[in-house]
Amino acid sequence: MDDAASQDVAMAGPASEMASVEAAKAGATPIAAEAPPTAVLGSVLPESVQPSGGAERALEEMRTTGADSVDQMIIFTGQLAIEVEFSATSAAIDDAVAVAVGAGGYVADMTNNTLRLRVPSKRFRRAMKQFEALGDVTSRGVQAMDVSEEFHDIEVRLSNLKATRSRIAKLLASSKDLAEILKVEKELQRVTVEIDRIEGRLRLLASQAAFSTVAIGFSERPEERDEALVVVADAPPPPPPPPRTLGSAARWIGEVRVQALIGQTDS
Amino acid sequence: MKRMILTLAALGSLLGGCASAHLDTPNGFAAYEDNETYDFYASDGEGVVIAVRTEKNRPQGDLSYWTSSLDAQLRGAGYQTHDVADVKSADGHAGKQLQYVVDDNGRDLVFWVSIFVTDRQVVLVEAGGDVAFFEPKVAQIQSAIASLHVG
Repeated sequence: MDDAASQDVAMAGPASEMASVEAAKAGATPIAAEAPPTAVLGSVLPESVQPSGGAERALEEMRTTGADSVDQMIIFTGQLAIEVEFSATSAAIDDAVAVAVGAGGYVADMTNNTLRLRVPSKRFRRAMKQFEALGDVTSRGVQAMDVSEEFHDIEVRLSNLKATRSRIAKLLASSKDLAEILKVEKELQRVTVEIDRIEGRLRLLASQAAFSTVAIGFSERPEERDEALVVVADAPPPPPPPPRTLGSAARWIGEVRVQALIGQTDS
Repeated sequence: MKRMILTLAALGSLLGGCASAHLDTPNGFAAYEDNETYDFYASDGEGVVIAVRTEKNRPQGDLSYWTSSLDAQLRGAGYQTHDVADVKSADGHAGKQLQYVVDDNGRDLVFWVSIFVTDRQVVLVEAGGDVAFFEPKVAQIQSAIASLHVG
């Protein structure tokens, strides 16, 4: 395992792995709809969810997982806070998008000063390095969540369900009694729905592992300006402070007011 | 005995430092007693007021010094100078009279400050009120100021 990959994986402890699985389960539907199913890291998918990417190999890759992680499915997420020059946020966002698209990724979300990009996991490290070169990195975070076990469990369960569905189909074909047919059809429907759900979950995990998410927040350095020019260019000079009067030396002077004078008749 | 009383009175006057300035109450005005701020305080039925304030001449300054100090303070508070005049007290002290108008939340007020300075004290005769009520009484007020005894 290379250094960066070791660092990435080391940042994800058992607790985060559990959390990641739960989080992936919770977010299954929306993310699956958002992300296209593509290459999965070192995993064998059922035909229905098997990716077909071959063109990606043409792009230079930088390994994200070690040689001994062939059967691992790891979901990478990265966060960067980058400080750029004054008024350079738009250009930096354009550059970051170009990096992501050039790596075969896409923009998942974008605001005036934030980006959420999805890049192929195989190019996660290289993309992160390119993002970091856009300015001064003020904070950086990477999480790697291993969903291999969950993926394997789901695969086994899918296989079993498909076997069950075959048996039910055969049973249905041989059924004569109407009541029995209805009962078997109902069970067949339940199993089919469960198979669809599990295949969706597999697609989600495959997508998440195939594409890493990088969230970038941009901030700008304050504009460096010549103080003398600021006064001339921006606004007329502030009015001079009022001249010092005797108020502090002879306090009664501040009490000489017509309001105080005529106010005495009220008391 | 009589000599002792006179001596004590003279000593008291010296120790007190400030002889109380006073002026004649203008016609149509009523004087108030025991005012904590002013040595003399009188107003008419329409809220026009004339009052005498006596302060120590500290820091020691002449008429020009106190006039400019008060003028700067009042103009800084939004008072607009209407006129500046020389005045004289009944006991012969030369003074300055600063006349202002000021808008007090939509209410136009007149404020006159007549300043007299001795080595020991600064005597101010302040007069003011609504423009509409003050102007008809200008003569009485000027007359009252001229009756001032600075002491």
